[in-house]
Amino acid sequence: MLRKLTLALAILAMLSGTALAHPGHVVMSSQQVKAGPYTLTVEHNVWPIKANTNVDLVVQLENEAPGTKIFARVIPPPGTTLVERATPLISHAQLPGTWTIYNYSLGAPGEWRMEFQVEGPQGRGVGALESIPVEGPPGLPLWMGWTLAFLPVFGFAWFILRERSRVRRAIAADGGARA
Amino acid sequence: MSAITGSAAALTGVDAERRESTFRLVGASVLTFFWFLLFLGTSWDIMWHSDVGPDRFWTAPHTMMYSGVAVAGLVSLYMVVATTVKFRRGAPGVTKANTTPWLGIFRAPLGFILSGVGVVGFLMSGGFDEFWHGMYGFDVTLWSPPHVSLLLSGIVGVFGAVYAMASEVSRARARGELRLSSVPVIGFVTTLALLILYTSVITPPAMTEKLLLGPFSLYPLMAGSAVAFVLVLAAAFLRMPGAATLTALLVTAIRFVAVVLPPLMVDWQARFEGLPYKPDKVGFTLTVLATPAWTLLAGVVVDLVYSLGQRYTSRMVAAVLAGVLAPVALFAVDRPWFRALDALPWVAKFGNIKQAMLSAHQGALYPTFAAVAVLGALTAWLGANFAVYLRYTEK
Repeated sequence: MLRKLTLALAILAMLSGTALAHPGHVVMSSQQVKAGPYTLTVEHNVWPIKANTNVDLVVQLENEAPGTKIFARVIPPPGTTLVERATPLISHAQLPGTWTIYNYSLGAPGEWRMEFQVEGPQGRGVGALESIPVEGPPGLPLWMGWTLAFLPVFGFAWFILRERSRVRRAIAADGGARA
Repeated sequence: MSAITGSAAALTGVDAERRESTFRLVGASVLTFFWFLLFLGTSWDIMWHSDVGPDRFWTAPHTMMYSGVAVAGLVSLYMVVATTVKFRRGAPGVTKANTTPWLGIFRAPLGFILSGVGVVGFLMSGGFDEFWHGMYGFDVTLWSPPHVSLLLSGIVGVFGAVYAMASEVSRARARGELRLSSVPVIGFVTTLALLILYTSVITPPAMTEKLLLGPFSLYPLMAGSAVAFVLVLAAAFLRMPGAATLTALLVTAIRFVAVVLPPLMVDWQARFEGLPYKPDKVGFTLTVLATPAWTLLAGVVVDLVYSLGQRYTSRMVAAVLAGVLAPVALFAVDRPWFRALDALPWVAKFGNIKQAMLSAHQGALYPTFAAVAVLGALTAWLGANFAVYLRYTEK
């Protein structure tokens, strides 16, 4: 009986331990950026980044004053047709006191650049993370993903070809009265 | 005596035919409603992501999307099985002439079979989407292979509803009971309107992420092709004055629903989950922006050009002319891809980004209009040919 109770308590303790443990933020890159009078620490949970994947970005502002706003411009490598994106940073849901970009991902391989604009009590400051290396996307080769994506179109094209034969026969039968 | 019996039997046949049409129309209308729910749920989901945020599989908009599709699948299945059973029992009004054989087992209206196939494709694409999110994380872009696959499967499903309604239009026409205000006609143009609205689910990144395709602005090529195909299809299938205008009117009406409902739904969801809006929230769903606001103008142009054009040339040439002029007129008046620059807060905040996007579109303006005209001609030709397929569909 006692052994069973001990075992049950041990399992309960393990489960509650699991529930309380914070997954924590993995830091694979941490860099400092000077934006005028402000200093930012910019952390990524993967480095180098793989294109199009969702990345956890954590930005911390030293001696942050209330009411400070931070904006980021995410600038694609030269030669891509992607559009530069600008966004205000928002509070990180899991790490209080830090900032992040919601759904942060970089859409093409190459060297990206991120420019920060801080608006706070000491005025406006601008600084940049000059190089964010991005590799090709993970998993399936993209051509395979897109081939799978267009399967409904291939199926529908096959259906339309069958329809064309059916309607041609019907037109031949009624002399095109309804065409 | 035998003459009396014969006319009574004929009357019974027409009545049975009408009863079967009513049954199929009810099925097609319920199906269309649930495909509309997919559009509404997706519009809600897109606004949720742009304005509030956190993603997981079982959000309220995802529930609306997947349950809408699941019910569309159940309706399709019910119609296929019920019609098969009626055919096997030799029920009056269900014959070889008005059912399609499928897989050697079923005999059912083609539209419900096609819609069911669309549902199966959608659910399989949902699995593909989960696999993709496992590799890439949640919803980094609307233009991912599984998202495109989901949308294309949905479009196949809506084409099923188009077929189901079109065959009822053909049957009502054969009975001499067709008017522009008939239920099958209203149902048919509603399904066509959904095709244009579904396009607006996939076009927003052409306003925000990837603006150009070579020397052309991408958005007008996509939206213009859909508008030309659908409106010419409406005119060429129904061959009634006002058919394209009525279709465009329904696009405008459903667009209005998307203007009103998603903001209320997102607001409710944010309160329910206790989450704040993002500082750069857009304030409306992007499907509204991506559905041309002046589609009604394109509808009027198609009706005028198609009906007047036939006085001087063939139906096909009139259809192609309508397909050239309608999207060009539409985008001469309404340029949502330019309007997006003011509507998106993150673009409005950074003048240099807005200027760069504006310059890209301005530089591409003339080639874009030329390409819209060419693609409009091509898709109108496809629409007019597809209209003939539908005119030969009553089963």
